Amino acid sequence: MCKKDVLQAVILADDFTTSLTPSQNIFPSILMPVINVPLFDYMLETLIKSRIQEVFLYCSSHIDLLKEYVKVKNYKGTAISLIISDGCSSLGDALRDIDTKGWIRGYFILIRGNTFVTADLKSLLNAHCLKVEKDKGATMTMVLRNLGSTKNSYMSEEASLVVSDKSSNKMLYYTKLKNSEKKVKLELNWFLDHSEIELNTCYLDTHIYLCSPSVLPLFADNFDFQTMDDFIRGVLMNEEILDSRIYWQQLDVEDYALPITSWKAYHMLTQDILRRHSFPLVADAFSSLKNFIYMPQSTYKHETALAKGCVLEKDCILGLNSALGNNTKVARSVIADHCIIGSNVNIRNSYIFSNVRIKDNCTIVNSILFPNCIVRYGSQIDGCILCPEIDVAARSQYIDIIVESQSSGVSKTKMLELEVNDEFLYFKNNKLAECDNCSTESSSSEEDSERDSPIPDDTNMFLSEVIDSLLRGYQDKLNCENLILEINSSRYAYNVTIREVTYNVIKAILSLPLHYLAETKTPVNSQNYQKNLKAIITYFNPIILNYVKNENAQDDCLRAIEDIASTTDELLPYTQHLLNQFYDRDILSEEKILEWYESTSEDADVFHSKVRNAVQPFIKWLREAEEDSTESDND
Amino acid sequence: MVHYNEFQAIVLAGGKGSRMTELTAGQPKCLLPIANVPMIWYPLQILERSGFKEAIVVVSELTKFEVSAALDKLGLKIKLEIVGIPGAEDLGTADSIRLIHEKIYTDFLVISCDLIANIDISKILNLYRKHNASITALMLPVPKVPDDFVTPGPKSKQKPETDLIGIDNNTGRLVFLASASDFEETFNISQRLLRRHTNFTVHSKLMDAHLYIINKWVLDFLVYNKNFTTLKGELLPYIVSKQLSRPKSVDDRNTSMVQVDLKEDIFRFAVEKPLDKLIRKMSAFNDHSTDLEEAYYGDIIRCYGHISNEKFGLRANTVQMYHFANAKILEWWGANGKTTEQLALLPNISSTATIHSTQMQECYVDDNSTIEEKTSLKHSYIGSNSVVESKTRVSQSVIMGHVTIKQRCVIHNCILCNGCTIEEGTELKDCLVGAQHIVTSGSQHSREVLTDADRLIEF
Repeated sequence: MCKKDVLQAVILADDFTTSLTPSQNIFPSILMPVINVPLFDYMLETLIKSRIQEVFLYCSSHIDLLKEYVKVKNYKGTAISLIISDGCSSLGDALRDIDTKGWIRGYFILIRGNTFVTADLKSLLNAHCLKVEKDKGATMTMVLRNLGSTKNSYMSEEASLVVSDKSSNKMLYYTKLKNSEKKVKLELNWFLDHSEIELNTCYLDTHIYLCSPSVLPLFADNFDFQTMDDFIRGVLMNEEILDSRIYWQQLDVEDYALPITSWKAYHMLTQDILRRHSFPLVADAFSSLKNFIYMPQSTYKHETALAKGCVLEKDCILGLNSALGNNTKVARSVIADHCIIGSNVNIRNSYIFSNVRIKDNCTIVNSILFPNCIVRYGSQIDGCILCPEIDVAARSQYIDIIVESQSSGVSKTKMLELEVNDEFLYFKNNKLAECDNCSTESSSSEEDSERDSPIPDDTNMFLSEVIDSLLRGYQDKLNCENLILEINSSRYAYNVTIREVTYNVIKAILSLPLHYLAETKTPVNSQNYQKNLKAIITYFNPIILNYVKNENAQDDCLRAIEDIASTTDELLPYTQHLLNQFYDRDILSEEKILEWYESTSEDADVFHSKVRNAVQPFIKWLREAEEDSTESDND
Repeated sequence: MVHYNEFQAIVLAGGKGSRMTELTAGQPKCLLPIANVPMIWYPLQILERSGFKEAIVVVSELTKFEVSAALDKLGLKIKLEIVGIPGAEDLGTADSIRLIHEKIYTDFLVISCDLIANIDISKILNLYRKHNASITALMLPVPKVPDDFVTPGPKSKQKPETDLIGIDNNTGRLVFLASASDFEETFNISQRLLRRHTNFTVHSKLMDAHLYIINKWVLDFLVYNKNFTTLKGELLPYIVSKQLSRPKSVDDRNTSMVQVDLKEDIFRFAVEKPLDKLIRKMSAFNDHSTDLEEAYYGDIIRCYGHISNEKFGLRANTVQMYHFANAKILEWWGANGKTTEQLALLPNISSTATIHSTQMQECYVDDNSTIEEKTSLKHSYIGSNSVVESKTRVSQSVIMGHVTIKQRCVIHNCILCNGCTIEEGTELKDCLVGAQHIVTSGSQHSREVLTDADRLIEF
């Protein structure tokens, strides 16, 4: 199938996202420096090793930079051609553009520019060709890396669900998991049509796609495919119409790949390179990172770097001609070339690009300093990104902001104000956000499991039925007479005694505001609850009167009020007004209320006495009124 | 009782065979013959081979004597305690277990009387022991019924029940269990499950064989919580789904006293022994290497599924499966060389049978049956005290006890239940004849159920 003499790869220099703000304004994704070496250097090494003969680099921004860069490189038999299209703004547009140019003839490897990879791409492509021999409709194979678990890692936002046929690795569904969704909806047919279906969340899209010639026409035919996710979703949904299938393949465990999809991923990639997970693309083994001295605790120092009297704690690297002052501490950080850093400086989890000057007694934590910045004496930088050529005045304190220089001066943007949401947040707030997620997630799923636990009995079913009827009745302003008929028919359906009916109807009415608020998505608080309850009671007055007719019914009604009030905080302070209303409407009689208040129920516990305390003022008023009336009678 | 058993075995044989009422009108389901042996023999021999010395057989009170008489004849070495439960036929499996809970004092194995398989239980027991599981279940591949296999009785588009069984690829944990018929087009799966078990496979061509090894605490929970009526349909899915939950922390005592009904809480029963906990904490063992969580993710409730790769195994709980088991049992049994001797208990032709026929191929004839001359029998089982008169042809059929087939009949691919009579010159193809029914002479039937209508209702 794949007897094309030339192995072709298409690299998109941009990734058309803003997740690495503000770096997209400074250089294209592919020139993003990782340990002071542009990502493209690593990529080229992999391409050359994989014996890829022809590479098309699709440039859509920072074209001059790319041209310059490509000119000076040595490619050892790999031909690089630039496809220049200024202003292209999505992956879909880029591929459609490539399709019209007609330079790609056969199978090719599509690489998004923000990825880092060490793998034999040629053998991966061959594996895809084998799949095509079995299935002519195999249009693309995604290369996925097994991360084991994305839980509690920097990549947890990248977690995706891959549903595939186990025997063939044919993809059936692919989606990013969103923390906001507790459940994922799956089609039953996938499971019935295949005997074994794998559900995976341990895989990470490496941004490397092995493509058949049909990929480009597919993009050309479907204008709405903007991103890779659109393409995958579109193809999987219309598998039969398009006669195309997507497969996946796991990256060899010895290989490494990681797309820089966020600053967190950037941090993780750098740490992995320093810890030599990405061998052979690591410092002192890789041609662009030569002449480094490898020291314990994954620390590196360029031969020319000066670092006397300072502490390189762990996982850090010091570039060409950089110098550190006395008593300076560095951990988990990268310091690029020609940086001069003073004494007593503390640098943690930070990336300092070339030609940065940091004066004495500064603290740089969780920050990124682009080239040519100057941080003056005694400043504190925490969780910030400084764009090129920013000059930070002495003793200033920057926390969680992006500093950019514009023609009008220096602009500062708060991280939290950015629309990019938590994908962007740099390391500091990150931990916190994760913890939050965990706790809400676990508590909510607890609730879930509570909810699906054992079969509700008839009375509960009746209650929920009544709540449904009333809610609908209230929303659509149905006639109360009809609702009474409806409740009565439910009563017979579930075989509920009349006393239980009264009890449950009152219970339903009292809990109705909660359901109504949930339905209309208004926040639940005491004020909203009480306002709605008042309206609801007025509306359902005929219903209440219909069920609370005799003394027994009044007992049930009071019991319901007591039970709901004891469990609903919103109702508790309002209970006395409620009793008053019922009293005024002649639903409850004075004697009954007093009798209820004085009765010490067998299961008198904290909650029920709480209710009695809450209604005390009303009872007091009632008694006084009673005395008054008896007095006046006497007169 | 001084001896100590690690596991007790419980054979559930009280079911009425609600999916095959045509057959069970005449006799209890567990005594329906497969290759002339009551089907309950098959699970019992599995237990016996695995070294069980005793077992509790749960039957309906009404059938207790019948079953115990039949079991005595089988010559099994395993000591059986037969427990009759009044009205067992209408009770669910979990209800039955609940009723006999006083007899259960340790972890136990539950096996159903309709499991016809050739499996080695020790593997399942070891899986259970290895992880100190809550429940371990056996999963069998759904038997492949060939397209040309015809089930006696009218054509029915009976959809086979499909179980969706999710098993973690790394740890073998049973993480998801549902029946496909519970869903319409889509179903939801919680993200928590997906993120916890990052790599699992959902099988749709496996079935839950209804062989469980169950921890004692699950029984205590079951006894307390009376809402569960069946093991397979209710209890097991519930326990499986509870694996992700954690015991509620007790510190918010003030608020939870009333609202959280502690009695309902499964974690009142599922408690890790202090020593086990200590071992787990101190041991370097971890069941997974995909993340940095502790072994078993700290879950106390753990369910496992053992996937058997044996050639055959099925549950004879429908007419189709019952007939299929009869048709294939010899082939399966023969395929596994070492086990033929077990079936030697069943001589092809009983010594007390009277055979005059010269044309018999692969037939089994039980005690006191008479096959007259000029008959032709192929691939059939003839039960005890039956009579096949001359000039009659029988092929691919199951004939139970006390059946009389008169002269000049042609019987092909049929099931003839206890005590029925086929009068002269009848031709039956793909039919099912109910117990005590008399098929009038000279009639021809194909793909029918012939039975006294009132008999079905009566039961």
